[in-house]
Amino acid sequence: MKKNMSDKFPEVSAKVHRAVLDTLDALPSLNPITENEKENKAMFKNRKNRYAAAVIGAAVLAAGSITGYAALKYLTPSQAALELDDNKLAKAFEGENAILINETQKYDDYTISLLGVASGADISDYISPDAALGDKTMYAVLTMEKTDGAPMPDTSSDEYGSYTFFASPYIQGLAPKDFNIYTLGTGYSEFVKDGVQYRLLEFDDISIFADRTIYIGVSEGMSYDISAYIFDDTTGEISKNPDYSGINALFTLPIDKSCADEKAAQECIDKINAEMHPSESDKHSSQPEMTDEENELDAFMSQITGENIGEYLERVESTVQTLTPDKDNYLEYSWELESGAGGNERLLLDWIDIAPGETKLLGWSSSGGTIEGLCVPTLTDNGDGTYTFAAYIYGQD
Amino acid sequence: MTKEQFTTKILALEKSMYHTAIAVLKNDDDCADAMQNAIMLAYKNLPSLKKPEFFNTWLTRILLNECYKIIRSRRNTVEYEDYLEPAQDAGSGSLESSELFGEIMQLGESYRVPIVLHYIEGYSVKETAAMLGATPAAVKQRLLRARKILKERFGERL
Repeated sequence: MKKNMSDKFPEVSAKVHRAVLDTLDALPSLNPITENEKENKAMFKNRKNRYAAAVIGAAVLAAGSITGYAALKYLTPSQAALELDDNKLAKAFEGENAILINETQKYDDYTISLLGVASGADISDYISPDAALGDKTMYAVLTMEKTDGAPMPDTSSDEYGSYTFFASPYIQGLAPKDFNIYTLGTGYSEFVKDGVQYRLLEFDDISIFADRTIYIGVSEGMSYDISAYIFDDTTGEISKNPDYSGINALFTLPIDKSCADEKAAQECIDKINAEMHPSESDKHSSQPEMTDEENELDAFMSQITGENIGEYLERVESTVQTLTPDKDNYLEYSWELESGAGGNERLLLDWIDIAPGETKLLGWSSSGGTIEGLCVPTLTDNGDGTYTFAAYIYGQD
Repeated sequence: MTKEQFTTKILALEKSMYHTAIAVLKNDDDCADAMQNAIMLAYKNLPSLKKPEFFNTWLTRILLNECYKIIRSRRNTVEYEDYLEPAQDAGSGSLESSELFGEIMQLGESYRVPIVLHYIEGYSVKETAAMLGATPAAVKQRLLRARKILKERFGERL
């Protein structure tokens, strides 16, 4: 059993959070399609083909068949909370503010179930010390398991987490790409029992939105996947994309409409909107202006690739070294420039998408923020199982 | 990956990044610099990330590199250990809210960074080793020693 302890430790300070938001905001809006994007699209295409084959074979699992059965096979939400040593929450799941759902949706590879939800103030032994007194929180217990019955990897194994699920609450009328577990939630804990992966999801009490439809979705990956669901701008409804062949489980929470609190709901929306879209004055107050030199440096680096770096920068011969990966696919090397820049590196090749004959920039830095202070480490795949490391600097002539 | 998807991922990892950065740098100003640099570098270098499932570990490795760059840049003016000792203003005072975190921050840097990555952020020994550029055996050894030190301080409460 492995718990995410991160939530119990210090929150990001306002200063750092502001800096992160400013940085994200300053990233170029028109990001060209990356290699990963291309890869993802290829994977999506493959999944569609697999889906088509499954339909021809008269299987209907990929469409997400729904059953009401789940109760006997799984731990109850209360038992799941006990597995996570949360006695208070276990009791809450047996109380009047809990809803047992026990709904299962099956896909080719994985089967997803929502067992139940509970909400209230101070109903967990693990309330964040930063939570305000009286803050209400909602908890949902979900399971993920392999449809063919093979066990899910235990949380202590290296395979755990190799396939990631994005589980999140969604609310009718609020764009799920913005209003999801990252903005509404505080975290989750997981464990595996009898081959079934249980996830206890913790988020703000969204029963204040009970006059709308409230959903819980489970899809693949680490963030909201716009291709998995359809958000209807007009009605605000969220539905599964029927053309998507991966996991796009979507459960509707039967929350009593009398729980709706329009004022609190609007405050919640305003708060999240303010966090996601800081005002222009907020942005300018803390965002340093780029200097002419920094702009010049950025423009200079934007034209440099692994192929043309020799035309712009000078290779430092003393840093050049031929490397062979070790048994774990790491390259180990050290380098140092006269300026003092350098390092002892142990680079995992799995992180580098490099083809034989190709040279990749391993990032860059600049002392003083000028072109003259540039240092660019590079790696070349020699195509014979070896790699060449070389650092480049701005030439003197 | 679109800018929105990247932003979503970064915001989800913000707290984890902060814990990692503060474990190395121990003050908010430097954490902000390191996190800003790491985010920009990661965004620029997204095409070089071969497998999306490595995003968290890859980003943390970039962040650690940026943290150590800041440490290196300070060496000319302030001794590293001198620089680390007085930094009690991290987290806008919220560090005091966790006795355990406070104790972890008192450990040497070679212990506190792996302990934050493994025990607090939940990365496996293998992932922690990859981020730190160390062998899994070395990471296990450091975790063992760090636990021993913390156990001596906390006794049965740990």
